[in-house]
Formats: sequence, C-alpha cells, structure tokens
Amino acid sequence: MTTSAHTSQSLWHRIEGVLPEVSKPARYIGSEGNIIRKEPSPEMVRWLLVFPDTYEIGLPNLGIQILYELLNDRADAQAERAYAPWTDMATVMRREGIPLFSVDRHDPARAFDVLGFTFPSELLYTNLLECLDLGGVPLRASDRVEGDPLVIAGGHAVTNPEPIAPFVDAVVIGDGEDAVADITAVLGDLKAAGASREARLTALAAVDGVYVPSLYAPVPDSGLEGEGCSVAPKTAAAPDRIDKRTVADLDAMPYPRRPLVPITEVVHDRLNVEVFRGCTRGCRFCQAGMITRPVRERDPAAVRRTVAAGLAASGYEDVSLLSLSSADYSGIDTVLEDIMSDHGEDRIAVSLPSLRVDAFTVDIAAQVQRVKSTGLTFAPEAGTWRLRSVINKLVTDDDLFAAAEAAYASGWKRMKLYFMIGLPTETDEDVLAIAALATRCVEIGRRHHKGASVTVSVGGFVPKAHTPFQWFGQDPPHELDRKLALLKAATRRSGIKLRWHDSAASTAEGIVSRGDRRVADVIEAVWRGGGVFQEWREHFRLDRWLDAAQACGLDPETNVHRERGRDEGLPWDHIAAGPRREFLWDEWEDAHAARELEDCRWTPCYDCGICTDYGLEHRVGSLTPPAGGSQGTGRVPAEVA
Amino acid sequence: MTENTTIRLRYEKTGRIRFVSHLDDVRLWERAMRRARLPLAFSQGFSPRPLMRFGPALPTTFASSAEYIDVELAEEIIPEDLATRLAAVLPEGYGVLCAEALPGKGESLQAAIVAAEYAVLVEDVSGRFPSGFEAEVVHALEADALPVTIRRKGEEKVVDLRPAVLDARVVPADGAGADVLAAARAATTALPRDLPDHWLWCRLASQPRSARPTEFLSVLPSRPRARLVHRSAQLVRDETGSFAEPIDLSLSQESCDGQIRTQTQGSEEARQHAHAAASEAG
Ligand code: SF4
Repeated sequence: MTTSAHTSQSLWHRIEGVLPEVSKPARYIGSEGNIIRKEPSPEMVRWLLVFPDTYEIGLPNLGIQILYELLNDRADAQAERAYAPWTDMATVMRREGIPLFSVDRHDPARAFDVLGFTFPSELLYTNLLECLDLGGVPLRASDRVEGDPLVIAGGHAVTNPEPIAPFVDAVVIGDGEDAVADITAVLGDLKAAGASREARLTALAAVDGVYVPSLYAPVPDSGLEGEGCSVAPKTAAAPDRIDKRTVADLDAMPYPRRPLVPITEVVHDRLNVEVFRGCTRGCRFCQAGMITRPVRERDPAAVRRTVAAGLAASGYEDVSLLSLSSADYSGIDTVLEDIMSDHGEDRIAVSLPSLRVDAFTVDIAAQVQRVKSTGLTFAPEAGTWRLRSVINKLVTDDDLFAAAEAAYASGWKRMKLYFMIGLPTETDEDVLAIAALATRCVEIGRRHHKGASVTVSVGGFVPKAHTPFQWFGQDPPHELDRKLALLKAATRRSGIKLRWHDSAASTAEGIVSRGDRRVADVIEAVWRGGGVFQEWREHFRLDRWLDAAQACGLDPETNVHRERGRDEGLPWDHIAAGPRREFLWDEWEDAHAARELEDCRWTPCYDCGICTDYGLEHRVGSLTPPAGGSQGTGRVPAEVA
Repeated sequence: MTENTTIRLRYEKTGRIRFVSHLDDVRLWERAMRRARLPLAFSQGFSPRPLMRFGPALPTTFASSAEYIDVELAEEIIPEDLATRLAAVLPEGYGVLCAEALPGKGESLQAAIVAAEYAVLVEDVSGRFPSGFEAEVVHALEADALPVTIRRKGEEKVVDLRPAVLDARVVPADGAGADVLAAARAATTALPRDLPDHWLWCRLASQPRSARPTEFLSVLPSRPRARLVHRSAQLVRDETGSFAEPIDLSLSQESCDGQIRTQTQGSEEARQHAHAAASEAG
C-alpha cells in the first residue's frame, strides 16, 4: 500500500494563490465551525468523503456529516471532506496542476485510502468522473493499481449500481453507518498486513451490504435482444445477492453531535436532526420509501438531547426535524413541546419539511414555524383520487382543501404544491385536475388574503429501481411536454404560478436510473463532452446524452420508454435494497387496479420481505395512526365512498 | 422597555477566512453571538434578528485588523466579558481585538467612518517588487486627477480617484510598518519565502464610496498587482475634525492587550504586532 496515505501534504499554499481568481472562494477554504482536523497516522484508514455537487449543496448533507464524525471518532480512521469544484475552479486547478483536495486539511485525493462518494441522485454520476479525473485517479476500476485509492459509492441512487459499476471498486447498499465501520475495520487489518488491492477487494465483498462490481459479469441473454442486462458472480468470493444494511436502532447513532457550521451560505443552513428513518406509507413511485423500510423512530428524549447539544454547538437559529414525513413521528408533540420549552426564549424556530397533506399537520407547523413568508409545501403528487390510488398517495381532495384552509387561516399567504406528470395510467383528465385543485386552493386562500397564491411545481416522473413502478415505460419528453402544455393552458389565471422541471432532464435521468452496465459508457461520453454538473440547468444538454446513448448502441425507446416484462431480467436483480420482487410485482398489478394499500406500521404486515427476511421490525412509539388526515388510515373520501 | 446597551467591537479577519464575503461575515457573527449566549436584543416582527450594525464592507480576499461591529444587548455586560465569550466561539481567523460600551446608540459606523488605511504587498508579473514603483506613487500623488474605471451595479463608470487618495507611500519592510507587514504575512501562507523589502501603505477615503487600494494600483503606469491587502485601520473624525479611531483605544487598553483571541492560523506574535501597529497607524 502507498505510503502517501500516511503523511499530510497540504496543498493550501497553492490553492490560496488561485482563489482570488474564482467565484465564491469560501467554498474551498474549509474553516467551518466544528471542523475536525484529525492528524492522520500510518495505521489509520483515511477516508475522503466526497459530495459530487457544489459545496453549497453538499455541506449540509446529513449522511456525510454523520460519517465524518463517526469515522473521526474511531481510533483506526481519519476522515475529511471534498466537494466537486465548480467549473471555474476546475479549470484553474487543471491549469495549475492542483488535484482534487479535502477542505479540512487540503490534502490531495490520492493521499487517502478510500474515496467515498455519496449519490442522492443519478445525474451526479458525471461528476464522479470529474472528481476522479481531477484527483488523478484512473476512471475505471480495472485501470487502478496498488497505491491508487479505493473508490466506494453509497446513497439512494446506487441501489441500482450498474451504471457506475465500472468506475467504482465497491458500493455500499443501505444505511452507511455500520457498513463504513465494518469496511474500516477490514481495510485497517489489511493495511497493517500490506495486503494487495485484489485481497482488499475480495475482503470487501465479504462485508455485509458491500457490492464489489469487478467480481461480477453480465449474464449473456439476460435482457432484450441478447443483451447482458443482469449480472452474476464470477467467483465464489462474491455473494449471489447483496442485502442492504439497516441500522435497527438509530439511538445508537447519536450523530451529528457537533454539526458543521458553514462560514458561507449553503442550502438548508440550519440544525438538521433526523427523527426517524424509513417510511411505509407505501407510495408506489417513491424509491426512498421502498428502500429505507422499516420505520425506525428515535426516542423523543434522544431527539431533545441532540437538538440541545446541536444548538449549543452551532449557534443555529433554526432546527429542522428530518424524515420522509415528520408529522408521522409518534413523538412529534413531545419533541416540539420540549424544544419550545428548552429554547423558546432564544427565538429558535422549528421547521418540518415533508409535511403530510392535512389540516392537523398544518396546525402543528403553525405552532412552530416562525417565518410564514416562505409558504407551506405539500405534495399531493397527482390530480385525481383515482390516480392517487394508483400511486398509493392516499391524500383526498378534502385533505388538501382542509390543509389549505388551515394554512391560509394561520397566516400563510402562499402554498406550494408538488405534482408529477407521466405517472402510470395517467390520462389528460388527471393532468387537468391538477389545475382544478390549485384553483380551488387559490379560492380558499383568497377568502383569507387578497393576494393569496399557489405555486404548482410539476416534474416528469422517472421510474426507479426497487419500486413497484420499476417496470413502467417512462413517458417520452414530447409526451411530457404535451401534458405540460395542457396544464399551462389550464393554469393561466391569477393566483397560480406554474413551475416545471425540464422534461429533457427527466429523460437523461431515466437513461441512468434503470440502466445496466452499458450505461457507464454513456456517462463517460457525456462527461468527456463537457457534461459536468448535470443537475444545473446551465450545464445540462439532453443532446449530449442522446448522442452518447446512440454512440454506445443504447436506444432510449427500448431502455427507458418501453414497459418491461414480468420475467425480464433487471440490472439490479442481485441487489436486495427494497421489498421482494414478487411483492413489487403484486403492487404493480394493484396499481393498475387502483387498489390502495395501507401503511404497515399500523396495520398487519404484508410480508414485503424487508422485516421478515432480516429479523427487523418497525420501531415506533405508537401503534395507532396519527390523528387527522386520511393517508394510510383507510378513510375513503366522500366522493368515492 | 429598558434601554439596550450598545457595545462596539473591533475585530480582525486573517488567514483563509479572508475569502469569506462580507455578507457571510454578518451571518457568521450573528451565530457566534448566539453561541456565546449573549443577551442579544432583537428586532421586532415575524423574523426577529439580533440588532447588529457593521462598518463598511471589507472586500472578499482582503485581510483586516480593523473591522467594527456595534451590537445592541438587552442587558448590561462588561465589554471584556463579551469579548472573552466571543473568543471562545468564533470561527478560526476571527478575533475580537477591543470592546467598548458606547454612550447611547452611537453614530452609525457606516456614516461615521470616513477613511481606511491599508498595507499592500505589491508585485509585478514576475512576483517581484516592481522597480520604479516608488516614483510612480509619488507621481500619482502629484497628479490633478486619477481617472479609474469602476463597476457599479453591473455598469462601468469612470471616476476620479485622486480626492480619495489621502496619502500613500512606499515603506521599507524593516521600517515603521514592519509590524503590519508581519501581520499581513500571518494572514496568508501563499507568500513567497523572500518577501519584497518594500510595501505600499495608503490611506483612502471611505466616503462617498470606499476607494480600494487595488484601484489605486490600477492607475499606476506599470499596473502592479496586489498580492495581499490588509486593512490596518478605519478612521472617523473627532470633534476637532482630525482623524481618530472609532473606538477609544486608551480607555479600552485592558481588552485590547491581545489576550482575547480566537485560534487563528497566524502566529500569536504576528497578531499582537498587527494590533500594535494598527493602533500606531491611527
Ligand atoms: S416486512 Fe411487513 S412490516 Fe416490514 S416493511 Fe414490509 S410490509 Fe411493512
């Protein structure tokens, strides 16, 4: 193993010289409150935790902050952070020969044993290549030799790891905390023993939840037209199936204890505290809900302690209680009361992102959310109850109107509604119903404020792996654009603002999200063509993706827009990150019948496999559903009953 | 409602945080004050903010040992206590140099500060101290007008810089300004090992707009570059019309003795020098 990982070799003096040339130089200096600058030593496994988007987006990432603290708390590890340098900085770095660096000690990427990337979304994959290239690390795992860092990826997007399989040495499936600890222990021993790269990869494959792509090969004829779509192990050292890791008890992971406080403006710039992980509302489009089961709540007393410690250590004036649906947290009342009694005098505000759509939830938010000017956000996702039954987002029209009534009555003047278009079984009537819902909400608002408004935000649906919609043929861009045009025409009235995501970006995301190993060539071609920061409008161009796909022999008609068959191999068949495939197929059929499924937190288990196959169970403080709202409580709307 | 107390702070900003913008400074100090659990006074309204007023903005990439904040507190507090409590929570690179209670609210720093002094490390394209630089400075001071193009709200505009250049001279590095130079040096690690033996000292007007030393360099024929700019003093006018420090340094000696520090990257010695020199310069 390389000796370069042993010594600090700060590049700061060179970086400082170029910072006057670039935009937002504070992105590159580190110096955050609670930064950890642990001295590395030869025995330690050095991790560089890389967020492959800008500093502003990456810094608040809770996953990175948790791993950063957790690793640095270990005697056998040392961890630092890096973020993708913006294009102006990347240009200067290449000109000056400055490699990708950590912001903590400004050490070069190659000084680390492991580069750990996190991928919340697929369009960030081209930035993986940008970061590796800037770091002086060979792009393909097969080209890396002794002395090169190991490249490990994690995050929701990589639950279908195949599109980046050739670029990474290993992939972590599921919760990172325990997996990263296990990997550190294994690599630490092997480092001491001077083991080869090959030996390290083999050892990693034996760690639960870790997938080592180089030990697997595509299975001939597993896809359409003789393509190798699925993969299978090449050696006995590689398991047939990689099961996701699940942290059963979040209270055993009381992180972050000392949150990083940025010295420059970032998104979500507040104290972020996770109250529970997992969601079993069962929305059929939602990958996060499917792959983070079961529900694991933190004890309200532990949340209270984390909030108090985090506020004291950060000086933040806002706390955000994070989860996929915070009003579903059984301890929500207790926690809010505690926070208000502990910190009310310090003008601390609490925000609850991902609000459930009902009046009850709005009332909770109204008690604690100080700033009402920003508006409340809800996600009904589809315009009609029929389509919401298809996607299992069990919000009735009345829930939405009651939520609107409560919001405007409590002083909010704006609300934001999230919808998707391009959902399975969707008709034009469903699309137009979005406009009708928004119109009704404006009418409700106008009864309270003259200038009340509703922002309708629409995105094209991209089916994801491990969900019941993984077989769905995604709407092509022209169809999304047609539906959007319908909606534009129907929302041309005062009080409604329509915002939409680029349908072209949905197509590119679709190419990657359910892609197989061949998509790696597409990603590389897009990156070589200059396609970095693909989540940024100014850098995204669909033609780069389509040209690259064509050059690599991939037809989006076949791979993205075609409905897949029941017995067809899927690229992620070897990854057990969500419910069993049979359960998902049943759900896919129930979706077509618009058959709803209730939340298994409060009703008997459907045996989707997540708990039953791994000896897990929900950890919830209450066995009854929360008051108010029909979501998952089985209440059928009046117009349907 | 009881009267709030206003405390004026002088602080330094050295090291890598010179790349932090003024807007970020504001947010950062607000948080530090909360972390220090000071009895802050808040504005009214939906979104109460601590009542803090800053002096003229320091351009990003400039270091300084002469930045000012007036902060209103709901309770009386000994200025030294405030400085000590802040020192424990400030991000590295920021340090409270002096703290002083103001009678009443005090005149706004933005309006009161009329001039600022800078130490500038100057270099030519090859990274050396430009030959003939001193003559260029002298010549510029003799000129009737120094037209310079500035950008304001996205538009280019020509203004006369001459009235804003109150004084400027080249100073040997081992002379009277050596201490400020040492401080400036502590503010960066990107300097060449063999520092030039001369640097530029200048006093520029802060009203009606803050003139920048970099603008002064841009009017010189050889167009030298500023390797590092360090603001060493900001000045108000006293009752007699002479320049004076915005904070009474003689009164607040105790809190200005350099002990109240946060951990910064430069050497303790260099920072003490910086402060001593800054006091002299004023
Ligand atoms: S195994 Fe049962 S209880 Fe657990 S998530 Fe699946 S359906 Fe719900």
